Amino acid sequence: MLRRMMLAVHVICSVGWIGAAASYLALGLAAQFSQRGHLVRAAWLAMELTGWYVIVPLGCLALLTGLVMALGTPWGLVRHYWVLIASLLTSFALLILILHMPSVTASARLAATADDPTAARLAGDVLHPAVGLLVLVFIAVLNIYKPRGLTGFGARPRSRRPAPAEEGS
Amino acid sequence: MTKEPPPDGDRPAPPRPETGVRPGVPRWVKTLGIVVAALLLLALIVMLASGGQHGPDRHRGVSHAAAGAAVGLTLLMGTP
Repeated sequence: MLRRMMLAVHVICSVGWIGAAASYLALGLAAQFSQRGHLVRAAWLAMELTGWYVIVPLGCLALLTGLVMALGTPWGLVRHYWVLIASLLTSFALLILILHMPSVTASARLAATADDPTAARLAGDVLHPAVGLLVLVFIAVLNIYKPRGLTGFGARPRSRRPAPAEEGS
Repeated sequence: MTKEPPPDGDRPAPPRPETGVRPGVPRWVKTLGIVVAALLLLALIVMLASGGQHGPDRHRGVSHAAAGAAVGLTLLMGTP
């Protein structure tokens, strides 16, 4: 029951992260290519809010529930290559996201105070969300296909579980 | 005695019998490693080519820099 609930939260957060990243990319493209200052300003303000209040929390929850799922099921965290790689890529994506967000805040503040012609000249944010989206989709594909392959740790024979009598001693 | 549930996509496949041979790294992991290494190298080259700038100033846009350069040139050349 708890495992099912954790799986549901994990899937919702992971898929939500992908959707939010796609929305962020649309805003970043609008900020990059629009010549209208008010639209660029609105896009940057929306990117800051979406980033801090939707994408970062979803990313943290996706990583956390993924780690719990891996450690709490027979898959393990380092037994199968696909679990290990998905965990590493998720951690890397979240790290880059958190390191990138202060720069988004700075740009949003700049856009908020700039007049329309200056705001229109601001560049958008395309590369980070585009690469991030590709990484997230790849992680989702890994999770669905679960390609075979045991790591050196996973290939080792598991140690015998202690009998209940031994556990109590 | 209950039977084990059939293997599905939600559970790992049962381990194969011990053969004494360690399984190698799967081909898809090797391919992924090469692709990731190439992408990281590309990212490094792009960052170095852009002068190592990787901060909020990056979003100020090319047109901003061009406008600054135009102002500088105007000051140097003098205006009528």
